[in-house]
Amino acid sequence: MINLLAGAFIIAGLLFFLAGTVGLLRFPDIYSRLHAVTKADNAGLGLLAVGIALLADTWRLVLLIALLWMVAVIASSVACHLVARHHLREEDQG
Amino acid sequence: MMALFDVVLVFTLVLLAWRCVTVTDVFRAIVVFIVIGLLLGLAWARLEAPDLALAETAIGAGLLGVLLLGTWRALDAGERHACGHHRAPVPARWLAGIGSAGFGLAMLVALTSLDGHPGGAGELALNNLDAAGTEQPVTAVLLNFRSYDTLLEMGVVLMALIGALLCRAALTYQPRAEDVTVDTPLVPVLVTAFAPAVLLMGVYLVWAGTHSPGGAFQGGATLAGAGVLLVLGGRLHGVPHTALITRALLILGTVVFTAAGLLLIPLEGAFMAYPADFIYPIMLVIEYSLALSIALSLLLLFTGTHGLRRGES
Repeated sequence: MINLLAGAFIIAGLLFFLAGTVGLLRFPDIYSRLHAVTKADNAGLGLLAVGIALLADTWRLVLLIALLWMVAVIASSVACHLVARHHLREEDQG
Repeated sequence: MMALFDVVLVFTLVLLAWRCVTVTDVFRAIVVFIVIGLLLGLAWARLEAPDLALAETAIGAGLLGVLLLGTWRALDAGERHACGHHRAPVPARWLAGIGSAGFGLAMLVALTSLDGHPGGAGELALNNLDAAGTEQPVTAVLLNFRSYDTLLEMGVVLMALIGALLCRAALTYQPRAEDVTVDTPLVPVLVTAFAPAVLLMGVYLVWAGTHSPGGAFQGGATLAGAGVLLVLGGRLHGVPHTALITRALLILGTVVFTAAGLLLIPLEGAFMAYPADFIYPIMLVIEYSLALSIALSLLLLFTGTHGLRRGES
């Protein structure tokens, strides 16, 4: 039962990654690309983390996975913000 | 299942390597190079060599990537264009291609004929782990069985830094104001949240080197990564002169390593032989001194300056 649930979470997470990657490749400008890659990948990573945490043997491992997920989410949000801001400034300058 | 993963990994690596050398945009080449470093780390992990995986990710992908991006930022638009569009003459390209192919084939032959025969150096080292003061084979080899190599490597790191700083002085690049000023509230928060965690991880990796994968080089690179974060966040600034404490920290690893080897000669009768009872603390002191020197050297390579001072913010 737990295996099925974990599998469902992992597959859902991978679908989000797939959607994010398609968005990154197909969307027209940098803002919508950033939107696709950060939002979809963060959701995908969260689902993936939940799936793997369900399969983990110890609580220590679950906490480590949660920590990893949090670090990745914070880093990617800030990186997205910086890339978008840099691009906005270059547009302003001409 | 894992075989499929390995095949995909290998093909992706080859494809990225090809992209890295054929792409004309320097920035793209750098990004591809960083991705190669991360995937190589994954490949080492699959080969059950976590020490190399850590080193490759921290140094190959992380710090080398940051250094390349820093160099890219120092180039002006014309230089960036010239880097990507400069083509070597045809004979030179053929020579490089044939040379690389020959080297690859020779490596293939050499690696496939390695069978880890009994009585080799690897088995000898594993059988003598007790004498090395550490349960971790890689650390034992680096700091004890082959300590000359590690000592010389520290010399190489120091020489590389001195050479880079001498060359860097000739460059006209000065960090622009907008590169340094941080006007978004997110960056200081990120630095405040991540820098202590990365520092802790670096310190842990050095300590972990005595009993599990990790060690001075991986830990030192991680500490340098925390330093890079502080520099980019405006908490540390490069300054054009070297403080005494900076010089002391730069040579600390080499000095402690050599001193430990020399001072114990009267007791042990040989250079770099350590008394069995105190081997663990000696290893730990050497590891941490090496890591500090490595971290500071790598960080100064990144800032390209002779020293550092604390920023205002």
